[in-house]
Amino acid sequence: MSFEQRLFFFTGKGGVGKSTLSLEFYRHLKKLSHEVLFLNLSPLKSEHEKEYSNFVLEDCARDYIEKKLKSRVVATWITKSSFFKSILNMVPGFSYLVYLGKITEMLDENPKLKIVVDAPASGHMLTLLESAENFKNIFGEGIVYDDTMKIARKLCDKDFTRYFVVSLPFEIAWKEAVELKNELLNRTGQLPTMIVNQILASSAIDGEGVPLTIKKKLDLERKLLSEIKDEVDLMIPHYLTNSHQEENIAWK
Amino acid sequence: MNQLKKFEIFCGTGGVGKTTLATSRALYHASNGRKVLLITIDPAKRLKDLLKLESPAGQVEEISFETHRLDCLLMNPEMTITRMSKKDSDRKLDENKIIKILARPFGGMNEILSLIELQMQFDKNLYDVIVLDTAPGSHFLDFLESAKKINLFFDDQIIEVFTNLNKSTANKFQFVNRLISAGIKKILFYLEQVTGKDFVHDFSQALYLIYQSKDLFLEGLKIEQKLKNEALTNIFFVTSPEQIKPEEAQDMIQRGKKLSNPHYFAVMNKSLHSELISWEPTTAEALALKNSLIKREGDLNQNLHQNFTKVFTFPETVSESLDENLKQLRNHWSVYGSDLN
Repeated sequence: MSFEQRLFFFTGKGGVGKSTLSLEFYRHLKKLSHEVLFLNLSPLKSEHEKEYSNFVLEDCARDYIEKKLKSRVVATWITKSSFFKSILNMVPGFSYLVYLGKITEMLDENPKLKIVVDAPASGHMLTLLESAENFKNIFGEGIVYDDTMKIARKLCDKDFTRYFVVSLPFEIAWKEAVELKNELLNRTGQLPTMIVNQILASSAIDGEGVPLTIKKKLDLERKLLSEIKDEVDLMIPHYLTNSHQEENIAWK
Repeated sequence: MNQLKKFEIFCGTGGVGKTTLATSRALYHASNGRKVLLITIDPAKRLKDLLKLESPAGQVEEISFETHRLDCLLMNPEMTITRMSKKDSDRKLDENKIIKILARPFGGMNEILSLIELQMQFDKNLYDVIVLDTAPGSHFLDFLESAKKINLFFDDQIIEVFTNLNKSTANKFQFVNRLISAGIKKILFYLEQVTGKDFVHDFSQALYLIYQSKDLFLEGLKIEQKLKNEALTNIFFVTSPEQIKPEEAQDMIQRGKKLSNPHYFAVMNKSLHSELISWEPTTAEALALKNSLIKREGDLNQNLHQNFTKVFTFPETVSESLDENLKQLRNHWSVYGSDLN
């Protein structure tokens, strides 16, 4: 299976295994001899720290301003001002826009590069997506507006960007994943790849001895999976991610 | 003996049952005759489903659960901005284009506006306790950490520009002139080169309005001090063995420590331990599953016990009815009645 897109976002609720799966997908692309960067935009520190490429927010902003105003001194002065820093702190959407700007610029400069993003959890992912749209409206016109438009277009381009939504096999988690799917569809016109992670139920676990709560849990899981199986693109059993056999995931 | 706290904050990654647990906690208070407000800033709107709320987001709604009553509020940043504007008729925060866009539900101003909302609700003096269900992830704790940095936005140098402005002379041109005289000129000059001409006007107006409301913003940020104060606030870090890896819990623990509130507790939700140990699997696959689940929960439990003064454990609830699950959780809080008031 080849992956033609350039930019891959992994999102979903916190703790569903976004980091593990996005890292694994990044390794998978590497194995297919792609030139890939792995980027963490979720604020959680992670065990995968050393495989991440880190972008420093302030540096991204400085580089951008430098390019536009053609002066590093001015760009440094602006980004070091407490005024600018506190705007970045107060308006997280603005930080996302700065990161997105950096990402699209890198992809422009190197046509062979792919970037896998361990994206923020559900709600914050939507903030990220909306940041391009919102700031487009805020800026109104001018160079920054044009650049923001460009970012917004790329986020909607199915040949450029692909989204993965990671979920867990119980009703509330799935319901939220579907809401996220619809929000992504509304905002980008794209259907994300839906992944259900950590599936416990297997036909070999049944019978008399299973404690009540666990039995109910497994039953609920089976019922849910049979209802949603047509909407799920990839099901990942519990044992794959819990015994570090993630390399066996059949990406598609 | 512990005093009843004014605030109880529930944080943790999404899907660990944070909203359900926060709701059960609020119901527990209500069942003990306390006047409670439950606020959720979870954009997933779980509370709306859970308690079958009918009012639109942003309005306090009183609901009854069994024989008890409870006030609920789904955070809506746009409504918070409107409320801030109403407190002073000259301050039309909700008429500025930039502020309006950023105050959309996913505009990114949720954290700061939820602190201001919390402060406004607290000032009403109606409640014995306010239970806050935060947005998923560590964002809320991050935000409390960065509250100080936001204060810089309102630092004296910048604010000085506005002190001479009074309501009758404040129009946009004078305002821009003052800004220019204060050295922010350069930033605006550069902005004008790269953005539309309306932007600089909207931006200056937004700043003007925000500075006019600086008391509300600074008041809101001050609540951060209350949330860090153990006499006023309990903070619950909610985890569940099916969701979180111990390394991620570690990260939340570190962030929590920076809050320096010793009443930062851990909750292990959806525990299966007592069920698992009584299970005698008959197949190799079932045994492997049992061992894997016991290990997963055991690792998390050990990690929490090493890092928190108290760990509260709540069993997995799998009733078909949400109400039934809520009742079980509510009743379970009384097990910890003497540890927590």
